[in-house]
Amino acid sequence: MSDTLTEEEQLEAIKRWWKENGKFLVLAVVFGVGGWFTWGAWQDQREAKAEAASARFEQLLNVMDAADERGMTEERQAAAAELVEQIKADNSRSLYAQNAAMLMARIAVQNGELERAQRELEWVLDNNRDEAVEQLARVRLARVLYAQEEHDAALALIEREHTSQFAAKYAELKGDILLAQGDAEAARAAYQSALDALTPDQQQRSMLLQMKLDDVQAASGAGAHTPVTAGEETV
Amino acid sequence: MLQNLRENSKGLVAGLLIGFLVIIFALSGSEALFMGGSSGEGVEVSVDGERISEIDINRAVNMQRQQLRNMYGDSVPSEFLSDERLREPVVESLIQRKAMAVAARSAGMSVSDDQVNQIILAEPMFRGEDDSFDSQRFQQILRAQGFTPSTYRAALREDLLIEQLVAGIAGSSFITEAELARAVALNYQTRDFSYVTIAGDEVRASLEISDAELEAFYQGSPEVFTQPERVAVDYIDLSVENIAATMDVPERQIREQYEQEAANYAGAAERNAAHILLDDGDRALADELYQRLAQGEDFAALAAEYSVDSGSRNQGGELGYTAGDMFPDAFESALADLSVGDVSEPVSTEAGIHLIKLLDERGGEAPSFEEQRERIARQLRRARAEGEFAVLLERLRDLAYVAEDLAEVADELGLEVGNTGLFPRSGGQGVAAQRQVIDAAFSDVVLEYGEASDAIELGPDRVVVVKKTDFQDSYVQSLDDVREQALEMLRDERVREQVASRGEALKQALASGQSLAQAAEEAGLEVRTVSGVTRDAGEPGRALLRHAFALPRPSATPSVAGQHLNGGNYAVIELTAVEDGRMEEREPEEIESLRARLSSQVGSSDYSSFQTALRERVEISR
Repeated sequence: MSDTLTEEEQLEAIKRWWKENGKFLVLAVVFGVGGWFTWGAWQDQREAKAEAASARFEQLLNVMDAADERGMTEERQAAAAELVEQIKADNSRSLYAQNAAMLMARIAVQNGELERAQRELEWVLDNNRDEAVEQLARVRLARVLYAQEEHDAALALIEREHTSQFAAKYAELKGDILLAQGDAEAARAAYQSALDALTPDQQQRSMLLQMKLDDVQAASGAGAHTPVTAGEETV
Repeated sequence: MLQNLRENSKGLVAGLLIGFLVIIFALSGSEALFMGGSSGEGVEVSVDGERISEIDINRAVNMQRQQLRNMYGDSVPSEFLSDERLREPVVESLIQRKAMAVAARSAGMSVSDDQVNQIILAEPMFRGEDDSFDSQRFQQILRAQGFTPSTYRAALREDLLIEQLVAGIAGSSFITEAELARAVALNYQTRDFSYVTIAGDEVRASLEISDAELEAFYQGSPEVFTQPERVAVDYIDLSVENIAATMDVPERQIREQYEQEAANYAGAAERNAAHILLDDGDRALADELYQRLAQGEDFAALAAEYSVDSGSRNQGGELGYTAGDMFPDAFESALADLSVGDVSEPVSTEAGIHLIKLLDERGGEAPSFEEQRERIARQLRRARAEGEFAVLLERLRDLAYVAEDLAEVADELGLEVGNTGLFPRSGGQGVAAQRQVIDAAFSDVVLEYGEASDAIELGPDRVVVVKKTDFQDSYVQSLDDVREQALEMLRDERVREQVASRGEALKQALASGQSLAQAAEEAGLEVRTVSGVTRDAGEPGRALLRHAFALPRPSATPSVAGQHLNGGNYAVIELTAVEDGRMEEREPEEIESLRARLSSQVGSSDYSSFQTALRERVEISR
């Protein structure tokens, strides 16, 4: 608005502008304010739901702790199973639900109920939206399948793409499965790549992996040197 | 313009416009309030937009330092505890934690106020003498760690969130029976094998090495016998410490300093205060209570009856000791004016109106001159040395730059000059062991042009200047100088060759159908046979065991391999049987402990994969 306009003219200009845009503005403000409060309420509700799931998850952890210390009784297992179902029903997409299902899978494995563990882990894969959780659940499911001697299904799961942080786990399991299928040579390669892929945090796994690798050394005929790495030769 | 609008506000139009502006201000204003909450502290690092403040970093660095001290005691060199050394890994782990918390929250995880409250109430650290939650204690401890109640709660919330995540990811890991059985088979595997050891010592004793062979060996590997280039430098080592050692401080100054400090001690008394706190409006009540106290009524009884400070009311109003900085200034200055047992007139602070009683006073007495003499003398020497250091450093720079010879410079400045003797690029003794000194000594300025180096700073209060006095280029040492060393190396090489070739002969014999016993007998060697050996057996030695367990499983014929061992020995191993460990043959406790170990390994390795995956996903700005 130019300074040269008189106050009357200024007011006129504003009135004209208001006539043209007024309704729209009022509506925008109403929607804006309404949206603001709705969004806030939705946030609050979402927060409240998450906190409720959090409290249930804590209860589940308490049951697990008690079971670890004093044994998994039938009551404890029933209590855990009920909590897990509630958490999963609350919000199947939250990490609480994924973790609750994975805890249930662990309980099932401990009880020898491999099919139940398989169902829980499949549920995780079906409902999950997180890539890291997905990779973890996938390799766990493959291990459960391997334990049920469903080698092809297990192999199919772990031959899908995965990121480097999970490479050692995938390769080790691949070695186990290939060995079980009688392919010692391929198993050896898999174990070697598992050893190579261990991160510094995972070095404690190296002992067992080295045992697995040593155990499938090729019989290269009498007279060959053992294929131990060169640096170790003189130790 | 707004002014005009209001004056002309006849119609709806202007009113609405103003209302509209008010709403905009209200919305953006509240936004600004939210954003403002986390700034204010020097912000350094953020993870997906969530900040890690400088205060958080410092606190974590201090905690890390304390933990290292607790773990290793005073044996930790202080440079390992320096902020610079600790900061980077601490920041790294804070980023890691933040990344976990961010991921947890965005995946719908949350911790309620109730959960946080329960933890705070259950914390023994925050309990007073009556074993109930003590809010004053709570605030004191928080302050000492650089928290406010709200930042502390936020930190605690984050801890709980991460704990839940760990319990979910790592705690849900398992070991299947198939995996356990496999681990048992491998871990408790036993092997039967025979082996022959060819003794390096015997081979060595029978070695005959002619001069010609030694000469050839020497000629064949000149790089081994090369003496690298070496330089010797004069140096002046100027440090506050060295200067301080030569300083004298007059007794009179020490005493003056002592007396000044003693005056400070008197001011540093600690006072134990009690108060009765009244609301701001209760001025009349305050005056009344003051009168009643003056007439001898009991302070503790009145505190219990009238004080609105629930933390101190039932403790006779006692607040504990202050060194003069715990309470607001008005409170402290009133307190400082009291004698023990006296009560102040009503004092107003932000909290309300206080009647303050001084319960007790302690400290404030200075230690004796004799106790303090050595420390003060040391400080004064050092303070004077620092001044001297600055002056000498300036002159050293000027003089060294043009000097023919560092000894002259040292003379001029009243300092001493030393010489390192010849040392290679890998370093020498004393100052020549310092990386910066080595680099300077081998720099073009010093080595090529023969000038004095710049002042090399070895610390904030230590500087070294060097100047070349001698240089020796690299050369191949004569055989006479290195005869023993060369002979020893050649012997090692020969032993290695000969034991391996004898081992090879044995293996050939085995491959052509001879038994190990026969072949060994012909070679004059002894066969040892062991059976049912476990991986962790004490005999026949770790190196041999490891190789025996890395041999391929025997098929129709035994597996055979030769292996160099320690001390120039060589072993030929013939593996005859491998027996896998079996679950039913182990004690249940053994199995359970193996299961627990494997579960925890898998759990922590799962968690580490998960954590690194999250870490790579978040955006970090620093």
